[in-house]
Amino acid sequence: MSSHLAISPTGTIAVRITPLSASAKQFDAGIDSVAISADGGASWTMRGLPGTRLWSAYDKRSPLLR
Amino acid sequence: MNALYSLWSEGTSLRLARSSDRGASWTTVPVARGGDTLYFPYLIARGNGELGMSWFSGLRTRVRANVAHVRFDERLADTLGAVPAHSYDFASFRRVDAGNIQRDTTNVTRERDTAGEYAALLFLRDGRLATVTTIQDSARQRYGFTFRPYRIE
Repeated sequence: MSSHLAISPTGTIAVRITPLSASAKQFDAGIDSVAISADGGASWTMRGLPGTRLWSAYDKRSPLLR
Repeated sequence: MNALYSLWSEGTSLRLARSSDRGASWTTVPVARGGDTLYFPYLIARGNGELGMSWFSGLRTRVRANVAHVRFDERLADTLGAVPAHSYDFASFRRVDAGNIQRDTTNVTRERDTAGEYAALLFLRDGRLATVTTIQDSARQRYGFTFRPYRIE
């Protein structure tokens, strides 16, 4: 994950949702998407992302691609 | 028109996707590829289609940080190809402790370690792009960060 939260100049909000937390202390397999809100967070649409990412619990000797 | 971007690694290929319909559909282009593993992609945007990207490449003694700037033009998406990137060494090394002694302590042969950190990016008010990487060097008791501004051509 890179930018986990982004807001466009017109206020659309995007939240990146990944299996691994930024601290790498929590790993929950099975989700890799982005949530988008165009109404200030009142409602959200879940969207899939293109491509394939390799997710696993953090291992310093084998860095995650993400 | 606002666009949504996603940057990710597929091994030795770094890919960028753009959506103009809030994630319903995407256009994908490769922005970097090579023999080394590419990882920890980081993406920021400014204005309409101006992007800053960072990532790490290589493992152990070959680890390098990379920074690139691109103005994404949808009309040129198919020909974007590999974007020019600036690569540099950074001063974070595998930690030295009782169970991990690196006898050779030259910067060339010591194993660099991102410690899970990304190379953070931001656009500065004066128009430049800047990146921050950590300094974590237990062998030399040197800690901190490196701030690198880049003038955008």
